[in-house]
Amino acid sequence: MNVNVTQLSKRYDGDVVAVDGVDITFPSGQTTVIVGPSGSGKSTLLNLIAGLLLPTTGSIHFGNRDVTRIPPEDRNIGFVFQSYALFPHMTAEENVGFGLLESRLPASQRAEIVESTMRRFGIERLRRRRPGELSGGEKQRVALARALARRPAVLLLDEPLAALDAQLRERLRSELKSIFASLNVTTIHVTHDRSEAMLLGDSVVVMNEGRVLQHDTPQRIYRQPANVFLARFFGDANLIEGHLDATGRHIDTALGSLAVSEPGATAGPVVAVIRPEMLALAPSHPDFTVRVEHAEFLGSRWRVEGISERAGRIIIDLPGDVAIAAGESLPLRLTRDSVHVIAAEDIAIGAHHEPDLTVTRRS
Amino acid sequence: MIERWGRKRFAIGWTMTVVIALMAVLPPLAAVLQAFRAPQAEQWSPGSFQYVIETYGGCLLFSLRLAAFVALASLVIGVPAAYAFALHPFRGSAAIEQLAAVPLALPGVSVAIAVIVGYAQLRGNWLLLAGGQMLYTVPYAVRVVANTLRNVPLRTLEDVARTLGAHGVVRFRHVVAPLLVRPVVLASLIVFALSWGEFNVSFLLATPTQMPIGAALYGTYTSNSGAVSGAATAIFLAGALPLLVALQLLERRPFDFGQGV
Amino acid sequence: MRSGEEKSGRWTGIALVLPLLLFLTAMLLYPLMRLSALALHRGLHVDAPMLHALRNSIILSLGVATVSILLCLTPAWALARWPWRLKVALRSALTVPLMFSGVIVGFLTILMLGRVGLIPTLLASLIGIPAGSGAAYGAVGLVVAYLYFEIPRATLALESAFRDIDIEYEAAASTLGARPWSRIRRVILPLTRSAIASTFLLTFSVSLGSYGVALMLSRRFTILPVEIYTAYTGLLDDQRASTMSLMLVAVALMAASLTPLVNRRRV
Repeated sequence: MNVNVTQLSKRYDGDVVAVDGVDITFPSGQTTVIVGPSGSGKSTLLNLIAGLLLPTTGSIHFGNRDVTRIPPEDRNIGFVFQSYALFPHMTAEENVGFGLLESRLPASQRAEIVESTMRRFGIERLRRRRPGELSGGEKQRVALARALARRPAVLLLDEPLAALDAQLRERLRSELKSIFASLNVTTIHVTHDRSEAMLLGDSVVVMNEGRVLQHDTPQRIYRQPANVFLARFFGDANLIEGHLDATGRHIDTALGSLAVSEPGATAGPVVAVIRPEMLALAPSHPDFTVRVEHAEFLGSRWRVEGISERAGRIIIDLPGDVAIAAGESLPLRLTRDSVHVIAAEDIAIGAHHEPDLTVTRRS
Repeated sequence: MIERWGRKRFAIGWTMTVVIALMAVLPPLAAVLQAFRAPQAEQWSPGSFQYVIETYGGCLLFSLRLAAFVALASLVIGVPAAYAFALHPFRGSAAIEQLAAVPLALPGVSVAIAVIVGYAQLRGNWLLLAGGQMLYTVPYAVRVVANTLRNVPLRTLEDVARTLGAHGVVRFRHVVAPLLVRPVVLASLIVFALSWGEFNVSFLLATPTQMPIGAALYGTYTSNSGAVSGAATAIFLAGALPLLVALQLLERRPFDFGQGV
Repeated sequence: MRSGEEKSGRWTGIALVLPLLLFLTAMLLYPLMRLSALALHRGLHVDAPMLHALRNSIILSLGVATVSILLCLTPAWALARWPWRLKVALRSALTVPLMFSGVIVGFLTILMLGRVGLIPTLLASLIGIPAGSGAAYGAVGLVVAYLYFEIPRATLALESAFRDIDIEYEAAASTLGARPWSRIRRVILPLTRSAIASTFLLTFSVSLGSYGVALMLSRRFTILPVEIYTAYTGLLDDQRASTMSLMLVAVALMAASLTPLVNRRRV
C-alpha cells in the first residue's frame, strides 16, 4: 500500500512553518528514510502521517483511502517513538499485546500473536519484565514488537536508534535492516543520522526547512546531489566552481576542462561535485598538484587536506599503503571521466546552511 | 569518600543522628506506656483506654468522618486541577498552582481567624472546619498528582496508545487510570493523615460537639491524668501510624506535615 | 497543537482548575480580605503587648531555626551520603515528631520534664537530684519542645536536598587537591547554601505558626499565635485577633517570599 502525501503543510501558532507543501509517494512495502537536520520538519511530517498532528493544508492517502482527518487510532499504523514510550505500568508482554486489546480476536489467539512476535524479536524471556527493568536495546525491541504485533499497514519510526549508545546503535541498525527487508510493510523511518539513512533506506528523502530537497535512492543522492546542501549533507565534497559551455558537455574549471556526467544543463556558472575518493595519485600525468596541509592516517586510507594553487583547499582520500607527510607536494588526477554539476544559483541554498563550505574560488 | 572524612567524623555523625532519633521516639513511647498505668493503683491495666474510648468515642468517629470527607473533597478539587497544571497548562495556570501552595506557608491560627471573620454567620458549621483543613490538604493533593503526571510522559503514552489503535475508553482504562492510581492513593493517605492530626486550624473552628481528635487532645491533656492522656495519645497514634507506614512504603522520601500540625 | 485539542486545550485546562480556583477564593482570598478589612477598620491598632508578642515569636522562631540547622547539618549529611544499615530505621524514627501537633509535643514535654517528669524522676533515683523538674513550664521547656519537632524536620528536609547534590563535584574537588575543609568551604557550602536557607525558612515558618506547645506549657512567654487564640476565645475581641492574625500572616508571607530568592541563586 502506497502512502501519498500531497501538498502537505503544517503551520504552528506564531506562523512557524514546520512542513511546507510537501509531496511524497512512499512506495508500498519499501523502506523510505526521511533525513534532515534538527528542525527540518521531518518529525512533524511523521506525526502528520501518523495522525498525531493535523495538517494545516494538504492531504494524506493510505492507498486509495484518504486518512487526512482520520484519528491515529483508526489508521492502522505502527509507531516507534524515540523514547520508546513503553507503558511503565505494564510488563513487556502487556505492552506488546496492547495493540490487540480492541481487536475482536479471542484471548488465546491474542496470546499466540504476542508470543510469536516476541519470539521473533528474541525477547520472549523478558515477558514479565517491566520497562524499568529493561536495557535500552531491550526496550527498543519491545517497542518494535509492540508496533508490529497488530500487523500495521504502515510502520513509522521516529529516530528509534538515537537514544542508544554508539556500539549498540550500530548493531541494531543492521538488525533493523533485516527486519525491514523481511516485513513487506510500507515503512517510514525518520533520522538525523546520514549513515543510518544510507544503510536503511530503499529510498531517502532529504528535508530541510520543511521542504523536500531530494527524494531518491541513497546511491543517486550521493552521486548526483541536487544542490550544494545535499552534496555536503552526505559525506565530504570538493565543490569546484566552473563555467558550463554552450554544448552543456564540458565545464571549464581551475582544474582544467572536465566532462559533465549528465549533459544538457543550460550554459553558465556551475559547481562540480568532486568527492574525496574521486581523486588519486598520478605521478606521471597529474591534472594538478596540491601541497599537503594536513594528513590523517585512518588505517585503510589517508584523509588529506591540501591546498591547490589554482583551486584552493581540496580534500582527498588516498589508499593507506603510501607514505604521506605534511608539506609534501602531491600530483593528483581525477579518476572519473565525468563529474556531476550543480547549477550555481543553488550554491546560495547550501551556503546559507553550512557557512564553512569548501567552495573554492578562482583567484 | 568515607575514608577521607575519617572514622572519627563518621562516628560523631552517626552518634548525633542516633541521639536525635532516640529523642524523637522515646517520649511518645513513654506516653503510650503511661497509658497502661491504672489511674490510682501502680498496676498495668487497659482501664484508661476504656475511659478514653467511652468519653471520646464520638469525637473519634467524627474525626474519621471528617478526614474521609476532607480526603474526598481534596481529591475532587485537587486531581482535576493537577491534571490541568501538568497536561493542559494555560496562561496563568502556574500562578494558580503557586497560589494553591500559599496556605502551607501561613500560620493555621491566622487562617482560622480569617475563616471565622469571613463567615461569621456560619460559625460552628463543620463545613468551615473541613474547608479550613482543606487549605492545608488540597496543596498536597495537587502537588502529588501533578508531580507524578509531570514525570510520566502521559501525552506521549496516550499518543502511543492511539497509534496502537486504542480509542478513548480503552486509553483511559488501560493507560491514564492505572497511572493515576498511585498518586491518588498517596494523596488520599496524606490528606487523611493530615486531617486526623490537624490542630492549628481545627482547634479554633471546632465546636464542643464537633471536635476532631487532634483538637480534642488539648482538652484531654489539660483535664485528665497522665494515664488517660497517654491512652488518648496512643489511640491518636493508632490512627496515624498505619497511614505513615503506608506513606513511607509508597514514597521513599519521608513526609513532612509542616504547617498542617 | 494536537489533533482535536488545538483550541479546546485551554478551556479544558480552565474548566479543570475552576473548582480549585473557587475553593481558594472562598476559603483563602475572601477570608483574608475580610480579615484585613476588620483589622484595618477604623485604622490599624497595634499596641505594645502585640508588638512584644510578635518580637517574642520572631526571636523564638529564629533561635529555634538557627539551633536546628546547626544541629542537623551533620546528621543530614550522614543520612544522605554515608552508608549504614540502620539508615532506614533512623529516618523512620525522625518522621515521628513530624506528625505531632503542638499540643502533643507540649504533653510529651510535660511528661518528660514536668514536676514529676520522667527525666527528673530518673535523675533523682540515679544521682539524688531531681534535675530538670518543672523545666517544661519555663523558657527552657519551650525551646526544648520546639527543638523536638524542628530538628527532625530540618534534618529530613536537608537530607533530601543533600541527596540531590551531585556527588561527582565533591570527588572532582578532592582530585583537584582540595583538603577536606577547603572542600567544604569551596564546594559543598556553595552547593548547599540554598538548601540550608530554604530549610531554615521552613523551620522558621513552622515555629512561627505553632501555638499548641505554648498553650500547654507556658503563658508567661507570650507569643503571637497564643495571643491571637486568647484574644478570640478569652477576650472575644475579633478585631484584636484579626489585627494580630494579619501581623502573623505578614511575617509568614515575608519569610515565604524569601524562599524563591534563595533558591534562585542555585548553581
